[in-house]
Amino acid sequence: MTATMERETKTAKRLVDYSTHDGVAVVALNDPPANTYTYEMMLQIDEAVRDARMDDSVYVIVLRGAGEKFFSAGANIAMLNSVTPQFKYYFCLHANETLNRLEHTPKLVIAALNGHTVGGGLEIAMAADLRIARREAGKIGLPEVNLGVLPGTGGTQRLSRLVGKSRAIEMMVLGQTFSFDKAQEMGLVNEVWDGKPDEWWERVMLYARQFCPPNKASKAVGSIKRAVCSGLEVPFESALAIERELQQLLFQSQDAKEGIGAYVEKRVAAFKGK
Amino acid sequence: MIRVHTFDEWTDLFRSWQNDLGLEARELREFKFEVKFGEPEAEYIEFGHFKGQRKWPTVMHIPDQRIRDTLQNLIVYQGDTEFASVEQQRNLLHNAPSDYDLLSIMRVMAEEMRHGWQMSFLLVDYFGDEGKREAQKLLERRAEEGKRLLGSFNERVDNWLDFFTYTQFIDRDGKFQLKMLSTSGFHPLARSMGPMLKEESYHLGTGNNGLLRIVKAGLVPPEVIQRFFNKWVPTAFDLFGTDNSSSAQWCYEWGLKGRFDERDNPRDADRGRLNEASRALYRDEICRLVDRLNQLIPERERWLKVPALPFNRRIGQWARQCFTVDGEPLAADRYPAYLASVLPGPADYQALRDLCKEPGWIAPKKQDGPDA
Repeated sequence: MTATMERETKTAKRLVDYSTHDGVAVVALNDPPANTYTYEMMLQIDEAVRDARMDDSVYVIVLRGAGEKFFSAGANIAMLNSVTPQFKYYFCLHANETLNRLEHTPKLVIAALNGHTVGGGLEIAMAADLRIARREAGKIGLPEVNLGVLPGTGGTQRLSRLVGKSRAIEMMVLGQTFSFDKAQEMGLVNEVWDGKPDEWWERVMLYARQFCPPNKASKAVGSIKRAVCSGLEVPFESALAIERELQQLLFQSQDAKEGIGAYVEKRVAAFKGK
Repeated sequence: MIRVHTFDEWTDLFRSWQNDLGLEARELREFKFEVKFGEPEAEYIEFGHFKGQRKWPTVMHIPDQRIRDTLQNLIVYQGDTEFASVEQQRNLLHNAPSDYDLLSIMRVMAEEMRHGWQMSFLLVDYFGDEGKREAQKLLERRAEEGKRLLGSFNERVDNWLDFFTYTQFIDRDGKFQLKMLSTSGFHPLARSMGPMLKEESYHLGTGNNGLLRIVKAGLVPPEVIQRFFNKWVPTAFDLFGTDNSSSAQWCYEWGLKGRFDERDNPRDADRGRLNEASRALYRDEICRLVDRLNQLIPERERWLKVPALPFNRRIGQWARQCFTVDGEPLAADRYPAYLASVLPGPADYQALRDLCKEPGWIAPKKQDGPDA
């Protein structure tokens, strides 16, 4: 009873807005002014991911920051300054578990970088499958070294997997932040789009919806993601086994039957995500 | 390498391309190149799977990447033909038979460049980096190097009979293509077509009028004119695409490209034979125009004709087969000599060059017969 009360107290303040729109779950980090995250916010992100997982009508998850200036500036420094090293350890562990949960979810995750995406903010974004930024909306980077620490929410590992070992080390030891355009050149960001915040967001949602039924076989989308995410972390032979098993599941799916049938009949397929 | 990041950068490249081609005439330099969108004729997708849905205002509204890729390809091909035609025709600027004809060809070339400009704008503005890359390539491929995407647009346009035949038959094919794109589900493309069709009609008129004036003057033998028809008409047939085309079928299913008579034809489309249907309509139209030319040729046995569909085709069911202009099969060993006899040869080109220096080989504009 006490524990439950305590949890309710901790999570009473809404720090994450969760909503669904035509197959797309939007998870907005919402703690102005910089959407920095605390243990409480991470719990709510975790809860949102689980909600999106369990909702059969959700096919794509979009992460964004509330407002127009920040996706997220990372971990809340004031919070870090006030807690014990042990708390910090468990805080990081839980953050890792939460971001892993995103990667383990066979639904496409898109990070919509609507503003500055630095430190832990970028670490969250790197756990997404795709990153779409608004041009000139902010900076991106992992400047943790300036605080005498490292990017400890998976940053050192995910960045090196995205941009390569040497570039990742260079970027992190310099503590460099840079434009989204440069991030795109490095392969850290998939798309950088112009536009006013509202127009840009509308475009992000259109982009996300293309991966939902009836346009796309979302089960195949999710399996492609899982094959890549898990396959990259195991020996090649095992990765091929993962791919093969997922493919077999897809071969048995309604969507594969529909997709192949529609192609032969030269008509647009109506996928159901099943 | 992408050099084009904005449409302004593309226009710089366009000016360089103009300079490379030596298009220095004031009328061409000062032509106001601009993007024109016509009034929307239909707000909703008119055919195919998405019929009844609102037309797509941006590429991102298109629900499937395959549709986006195909759409981009359609625009690239259209744009490629526009710049190619200017490359093919530019040499004629120096030997126009009259001031009227010079102004006509300059207008045709300027408007073809505007059409290329319009297609490039769509690519740069709507299709992201890939579109910018393709818009750049529209100015890098060259007809004289044989690198334009469609066969007709790598052929040489050598003289004014060539030009009038080209505008009569190839630009008329262009009219068909533009009309088919005018019902596209991609709204910016559909709305581009109204102004382009209006301008294109002048080009067709130029070709038809020029041929009427040549036939009326009576100095160029109909047999020579026929050889130029034999050169251009089969390539125009090819431009409609292969028979039983899957691509055409998908374009229709996706609402990207309709039939030529899409808005007037109450029947369901025969999706397996879309290209054949458009080609047949085109053939009917050019047959009528050739009949009008024949009214000016007294000797019936010298009348001009539209080559039969199987003659000298490079794509489709008749591709690379041996047929006469009348559609009769011919032995393969006799075919090369036959082809040389019915297509314009070096002697024809030289004779025309000489003839074009003489006054009276083409009737003046004021003596025009019926126009297109």
